[in-house]
Amino acid sequence: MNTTTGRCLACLAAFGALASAAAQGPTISAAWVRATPPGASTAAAYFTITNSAAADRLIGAESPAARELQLHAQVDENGLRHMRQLADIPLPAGATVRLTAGGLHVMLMDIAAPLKPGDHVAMTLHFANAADIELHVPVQDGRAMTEHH
Amino acid sequence: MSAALQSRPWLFVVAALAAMVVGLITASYLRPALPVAPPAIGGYVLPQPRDLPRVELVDGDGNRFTPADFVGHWSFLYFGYTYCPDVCPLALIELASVKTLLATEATGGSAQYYLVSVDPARDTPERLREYVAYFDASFHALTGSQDELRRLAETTGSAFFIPEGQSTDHYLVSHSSNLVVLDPAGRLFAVITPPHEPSGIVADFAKIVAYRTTQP
Repeated sequence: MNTTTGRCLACLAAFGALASAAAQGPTISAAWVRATPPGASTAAAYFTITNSAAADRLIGAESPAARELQLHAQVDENGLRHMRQLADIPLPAGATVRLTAGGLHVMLMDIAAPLKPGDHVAMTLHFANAADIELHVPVQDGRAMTEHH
Repeated sequence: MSAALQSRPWLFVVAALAAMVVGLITASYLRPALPVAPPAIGGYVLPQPRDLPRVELVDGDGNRFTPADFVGHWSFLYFGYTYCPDVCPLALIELASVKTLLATEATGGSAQYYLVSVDPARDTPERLREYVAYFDASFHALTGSQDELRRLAETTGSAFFIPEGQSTDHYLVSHSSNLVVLDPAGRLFAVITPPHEPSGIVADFAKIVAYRTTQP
């Protein structure tokens, strides 16, 4: 490779990075689904949403692996712990929102089959403004992880 | 006053001091021990341990289980259900860590761990047994009628209810996330409230066990 071509490629790469950053809506990282214990018909998915664009909202999710996906928060009220279904999860501009064990999560209701470590769950996230995001979420064994509320 | 005391008045002081010392030592033996206050934990220790109601439950093998079966070892009870995808697995993972941490301890090593279902309509004994065994092979599952479970929950500082307006098949149950601690007499002894960390539970349990040794 001569130097001119090298410079051009670097140039293109830089331009590409800038272009994608400008167009970028929410991005997803650290996604995982909890492997299901025997007998369980539900599962929970967790991920981190980084929203480098204008304010948006996560408004829903779908997966062929479950009958229905719901956005949930874990709330403590009068000494009782409720899972509360949310209509949406707000994503303020520039914010990072974490869905973590014992907090916000996506609940998979009526899973089609048990979810085993090593499996992947296809999932589509819907946003109020941004385009859908397709995910291939790895199933992980929660017992082997260090989790915190 | 004797001649000896008249000529040596300091003897009187010595005698008085000696009497005082003897009196204090005697008193310290005779005085009943001051009651030891329950230790501060992440939750509370009952000032008076409470007997459980005479409920009839069913264990994971489908056998009859009564509070008498809690006698002989410390017990940890968590009220949850298998349909719960987030906090219940998390709580049982934490309990499995607690069990590992306590395994080598004289008292804690024999402690038993129970998931008490708050969803008897869907959680059959068999389903519960498989579910708890996933977290630890020695974990126990308990269920029973709605009424029996409610009586047990209410006596142990726990609660659960099914919020209205949900479908009959796909409903969520609201429940307290307390960890109930029963003493080897099978009485409610302490309640550990969330947030739960295995190391915190182990530290609290050590205080609870130490406190019980001071109780009659």
